Amino acid sequence: MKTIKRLMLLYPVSWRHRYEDEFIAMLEQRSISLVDTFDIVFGAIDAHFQRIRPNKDTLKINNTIMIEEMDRGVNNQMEKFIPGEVREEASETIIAERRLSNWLDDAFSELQKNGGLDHIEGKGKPLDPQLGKDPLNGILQNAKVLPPWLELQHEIRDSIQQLLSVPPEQKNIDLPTEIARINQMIAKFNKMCPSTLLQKPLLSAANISEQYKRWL
Amino acid sequence: MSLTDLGRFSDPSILILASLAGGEKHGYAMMEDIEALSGVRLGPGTLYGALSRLEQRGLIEPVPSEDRRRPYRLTASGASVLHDHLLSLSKFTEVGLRRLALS
Repeated sequence: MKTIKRLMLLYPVSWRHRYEDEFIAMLEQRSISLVDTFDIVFGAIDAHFQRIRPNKDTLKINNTIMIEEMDRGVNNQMEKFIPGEVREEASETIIAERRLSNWLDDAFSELQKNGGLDHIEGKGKPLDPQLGKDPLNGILQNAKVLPPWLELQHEIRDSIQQLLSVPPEQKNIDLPTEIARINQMIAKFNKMCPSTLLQKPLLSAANISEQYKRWL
Repeated sequence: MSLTDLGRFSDPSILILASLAGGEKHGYAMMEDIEALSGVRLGPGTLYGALSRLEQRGLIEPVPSEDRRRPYRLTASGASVLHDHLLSLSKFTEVGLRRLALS
């Protein structure tokens, strides 16, 4: 009996208020095995989850009640909040969040309708990676040091240039191997460069001269 | 409405509905009945987890009683949900048995 009372403490207060009496009455009629004890503990965990995650049907009912209540004033609503309880998934919170997001959506579509988004600076123009505004770039420039990604960019440019200027049959260069080597550098460059706008596609035997222009 | 949204509690729920279809019962009587009916021994926590869900969905309801052991009974919608579920099970059983006979 002492064990049962202790196990009951694991259950949420609202559950105990509703079921504890009959639950204990039921347990008094049978001997409780170890398996039963575990089952009761899991039941308690489940009851906590069930409490903070109301099912869809009750939410719907609560929804109308809550909205009526909220219209009477948010302060009334706040008084119902029990301190220390998890309210994140409570129906009131979900409804309040839904209403808030409705307001935001309304405000945004109104702005859009009234042309608030039509005169934004730079609209319709290509994006600028704004490298000059990166403080690190400024420091490196003053020190006359190339940032590593630019250094790599130059290295790639030179490699492609070399590939184009020297016919492979003259210099014993294995074209696929060389392209794979450059592509490895390009992949590294794409990870290093400070803006996705600067990323460049990989080389293939067919597009070398075309791609070279991108690296100038 | 179907019982599938009860997840892990859908099986105990069917057993409870089937047990209450035979008349109102309190928790302990349900356990005994379910064990005799299906051989499944429901734990107390599982039983009440399923009971509270079924009650919340209006498929069963408590019967007013002086006894501490509160009896429950099937509601009309509970009976219809159980009926639909058993019907689909019997179709499934029928097809399964026919396939076994063919092979």
